[in-house]
Amino acid sequence: MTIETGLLAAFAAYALIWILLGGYLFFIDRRVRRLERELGTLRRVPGLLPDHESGAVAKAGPTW
Amino acid sequence: MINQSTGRTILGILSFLAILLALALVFLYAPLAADPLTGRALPEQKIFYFHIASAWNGFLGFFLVFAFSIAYLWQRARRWDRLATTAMEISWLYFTIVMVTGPIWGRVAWGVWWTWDPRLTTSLVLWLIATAYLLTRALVHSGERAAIICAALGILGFVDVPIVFMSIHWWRTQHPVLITTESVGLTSPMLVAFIVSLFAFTLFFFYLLWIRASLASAEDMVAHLQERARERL
Amino acid sequence: MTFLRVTWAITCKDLLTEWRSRETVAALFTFTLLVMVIFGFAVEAPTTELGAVAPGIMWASLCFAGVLLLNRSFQNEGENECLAALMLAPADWAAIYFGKALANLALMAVVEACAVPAFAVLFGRDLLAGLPLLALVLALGTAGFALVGTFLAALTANVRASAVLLPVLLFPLTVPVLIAAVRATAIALAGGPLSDASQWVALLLIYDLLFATLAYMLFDFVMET
Repeated sequence: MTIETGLLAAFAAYALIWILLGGYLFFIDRRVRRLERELGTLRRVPGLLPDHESGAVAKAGPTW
Repeated sequence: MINQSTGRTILGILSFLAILLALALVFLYAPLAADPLTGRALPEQKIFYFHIASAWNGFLGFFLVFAFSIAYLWQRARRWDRLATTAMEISWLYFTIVMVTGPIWGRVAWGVWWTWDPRLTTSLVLWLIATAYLLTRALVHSGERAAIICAALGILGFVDVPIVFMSIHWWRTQHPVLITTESVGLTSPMLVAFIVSLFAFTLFFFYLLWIRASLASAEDMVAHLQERARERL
Repeated sequence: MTFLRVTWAITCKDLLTEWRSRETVAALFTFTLLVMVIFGFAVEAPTTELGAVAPGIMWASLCFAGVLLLNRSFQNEGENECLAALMLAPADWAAIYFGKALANLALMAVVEACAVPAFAVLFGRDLLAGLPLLALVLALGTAGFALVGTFLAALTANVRASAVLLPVLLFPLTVPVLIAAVRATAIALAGGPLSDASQWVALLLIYDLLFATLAYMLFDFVMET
């Protein structure tokens, strides 16, 4: 195998690592957005979210 | 007092910086490996650093799942269950990295996609256990039932790890493996790069654990709120 | 003592249920035979080379049959709240686990009694060469599968797609058993002395004891669900 193949392999491996890790972060981000949407819907339900509770959810919420 | 969200962000930044540092060390500081026989440069050896770092962290994940599973069975607090699932997810992620980078390295370095090397094969078995665990989690709907089942699996899985490794190792000793993903002659700059890579990935593991667990916790709360909303309407 | 009595009672109950219909064992044996034949066709090698892969084929066939058996372990308890009734017995719930594991082991032993000779014929192996070692390996290996398999069967009872989930969980966890059993069987079939296979036998023994203990400790939690 030539040096070029070796470099290509190293590059491919690292690219795939970042794709996998980045993919996971992306997946988390998508779930966070979905959660924010659901929370938005819930806020419209009268009296469901007293102030202190919405604070708790926000603090546990996955802000980056 | 540092609020949880700030701590998380700090860990995130730190792990990101650590990874950048590791990358710099791997590509700029650690010497280019060379074939001892022909002297030919082996750039694919650079894969080694993050490949092994991922494997070690995968193992760490299994241990964490074990610890969280025991904690869950003992205290029955939902947070241990969330942490166990999260740890298993990230462990799965890291083992997937091992499964992907291993064959790439193997194909280039030794011409075969798969060597039944003990460490790689053990990683494969653990990856399979992790996949089975996550499948179970997906298939069992009742939260508490899933928690107990997965806790049992987490404990069984971890206890099995040394036995799996030993059996595969003995098996390969009978048919000696000429090709191994063991490090060959790590010089000290390489060692430094490796240790930093390992440290960076471990930091990142805990960062992922933190954000994913927070997400799970928030999802639980929202689900709880949704149910309350349904009751009112 | 009550524990042992209850365990034995459950074993006998399961075996009696099996004896009444006698279909399952026959079907399992047929299935095992079929898998061995399929392997025979699949592995394209002259008879002499088959010797090297034969032990693996034997154990693979037994594994697949075993999974079918295990799937049914807790299924028939579904009707008439049988399981709840069993849990009222005056002993640790783990007695249910050991009782069923023992029953599964016995049933597998019956299948093996028929299948292993058939295997010897199909693949030209001499069983008598290392018979004591072979018997020991079969016993310990099957025990390993039965112990972990019965526990997982309890775990996955009433879960969607449990028939697929059980093997998916079982096979990775029992990799050590498979490796050790196949290696030791190969030694036995070649007529090697027990000392050659001692590390594998030790591994099987440790595995069996370890997981029996773990299952005993965890079974109560599983039954709560």
